[in-house]
Amino acid sequence: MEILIALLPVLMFAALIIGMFSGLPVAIVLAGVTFLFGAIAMALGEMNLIQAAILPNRVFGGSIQNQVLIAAPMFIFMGVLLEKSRLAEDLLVTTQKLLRHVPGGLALAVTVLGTILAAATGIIGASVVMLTVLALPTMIDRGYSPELAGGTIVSAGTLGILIPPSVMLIFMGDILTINLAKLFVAALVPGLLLAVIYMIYIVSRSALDPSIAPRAPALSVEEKKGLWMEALFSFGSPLFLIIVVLGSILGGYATPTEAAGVGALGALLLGWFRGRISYSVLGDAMDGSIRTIAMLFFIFVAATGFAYVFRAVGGEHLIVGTALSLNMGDWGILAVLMLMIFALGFFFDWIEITLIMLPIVSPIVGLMDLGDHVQRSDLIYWFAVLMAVNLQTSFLTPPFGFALFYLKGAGGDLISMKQIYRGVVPFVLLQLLILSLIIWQPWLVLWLANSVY
Amino acid sequence: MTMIVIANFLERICTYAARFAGILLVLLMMTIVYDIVGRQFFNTGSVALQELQWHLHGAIALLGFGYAYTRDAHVRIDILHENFPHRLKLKLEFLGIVFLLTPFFLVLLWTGFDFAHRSFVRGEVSPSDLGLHHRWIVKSVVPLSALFALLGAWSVALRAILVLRGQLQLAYRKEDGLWKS
Repeated sequence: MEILIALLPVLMFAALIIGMFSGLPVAIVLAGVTFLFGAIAMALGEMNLIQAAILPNRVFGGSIQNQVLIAAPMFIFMGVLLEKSRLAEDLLVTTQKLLRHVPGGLALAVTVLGTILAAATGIIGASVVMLTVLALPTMIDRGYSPELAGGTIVSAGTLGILIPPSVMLIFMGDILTINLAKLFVAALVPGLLLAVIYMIYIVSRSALDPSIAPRAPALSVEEKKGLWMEALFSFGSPLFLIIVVLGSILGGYATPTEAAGVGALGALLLGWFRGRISYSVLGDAMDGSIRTIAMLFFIFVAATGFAYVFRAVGGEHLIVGTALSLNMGDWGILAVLMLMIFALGFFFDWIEITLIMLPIVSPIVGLMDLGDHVQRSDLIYWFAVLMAVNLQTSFLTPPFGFALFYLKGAGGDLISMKQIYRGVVPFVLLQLLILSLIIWQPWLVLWLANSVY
Repeated sequence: MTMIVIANFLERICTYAARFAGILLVLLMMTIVYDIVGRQFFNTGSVALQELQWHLHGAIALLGFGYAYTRDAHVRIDILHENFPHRLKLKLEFLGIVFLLTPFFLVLLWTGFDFAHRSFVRGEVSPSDLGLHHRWIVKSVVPLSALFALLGAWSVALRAILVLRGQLQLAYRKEDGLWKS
């Protein structure tokens, strides 16, 4: 019996992982495992009934009475509005026209769109699918090599989890109880660094080998005439919106919640000025937003229950105890955590990893001390950014990286799995480069964040 | 065909709840902007407005569970699942709803009802003098979210049975929007 009690957290975790592969909605697997192990713990006297009555308090405090998470529905609403009013599509078309003289212009346009649309979709799968549907057929049609096209789409699609306003960062900030605005700033430099390095790669590769990215056809006189006005509207206005939203957070003028509310209103007004907002578009935007928001919080609520029971049966104690007893030093723990997150990213979206795994491992993060390398008070911000970049890399790494499967799923016969694997390798290498760079030089993450906050 | 009538009825309730949450999105957006404008230019920012924001957020975040369930919007790990035979998937879906979802959300419904009810009986108000009264309203979101999750999931469970019997095409209504029909 003693052994069973000691093993409960391990069994609980194993049941969760195995259950998730049933393909049932992750939230209901969490719910089922939580109920089962809660009942076992009560039968063994490790928990009592009164503890079950605390569940609503946890849900209320975690998901409702929460000033930080208010930003999530608003940023999602903003992103979905940009998508449903077809402002996102316009942005792609115009960017590509503007960049027609630049080698790989269309691929660059995809990277820009992926960066800007990060908040629209919430999950990697959805943003990769959206970029694939919007851009892959055009790219192939224009004679781009499937390798370059595929690599660009998956890398741009995963950029969204890092670049603010990333919904993942909002949840991370909440779970690690750190200042969200500061986390946004910390993630911005590595995020932009990645976007820039992707673009440099695309341009130089396309310049060296024009056969993989043929120049865009010349525009007709008609198209040229209106181009600057068009650019002003469809490129300038969403960009202006993003700059205002992010700028107000970075400058410390607004909280993420305020910025998110203003951003949503801004997206609505932009769409309205361009005559794109009807009742039906607004209704669609509500529909899309509610689906994503409900999906996120369904897991969050179930994960609240899971974390509560897991802690009650001694899970946290076990994890911290194991981490300390392994005696690998703080760098060793960091390496193990990073490898674990990398491996989890093969199978799970950031949602499961951030909402379920992060609360479980976060006590260890609090214990880490890397001495002079990173200041203790900044370590958690640095860790969160490392985790985000690491996850991105994992989503892209063949053969499992699951952004790749979404590309294949949405791209169908346009691209083969082999082409995807070959195309993504350079982007994975660039990712690893940036990841090692920010591990080696933490100031890249922390300098701007510390000078603003 | 009473089963399909019940399934549609359950789905309807969840869809109305989700429509309400959808409208609250716009309301939350306006509340935030109104709060900023008031505070910056007219010195009128208030605790009540700040509280209203998380009240609205809570309803938006939690009232769509059932709707999202009927639309198959919840994430799954479908690496293995993709290759399961069609009938096995439906049976799994049914069993998952009965044995995984239902017990947990019944507990949340029951304890959550108690949680909101206590607040109502005590006439609980915001700890701040200037905050909102009637805290039980926002606390009711907890049991309601569990209720809608159960209703939406059971709508799918009934539909899964009908599909298994060959009386229906799809267990989920993925393509049906929030507003049409």
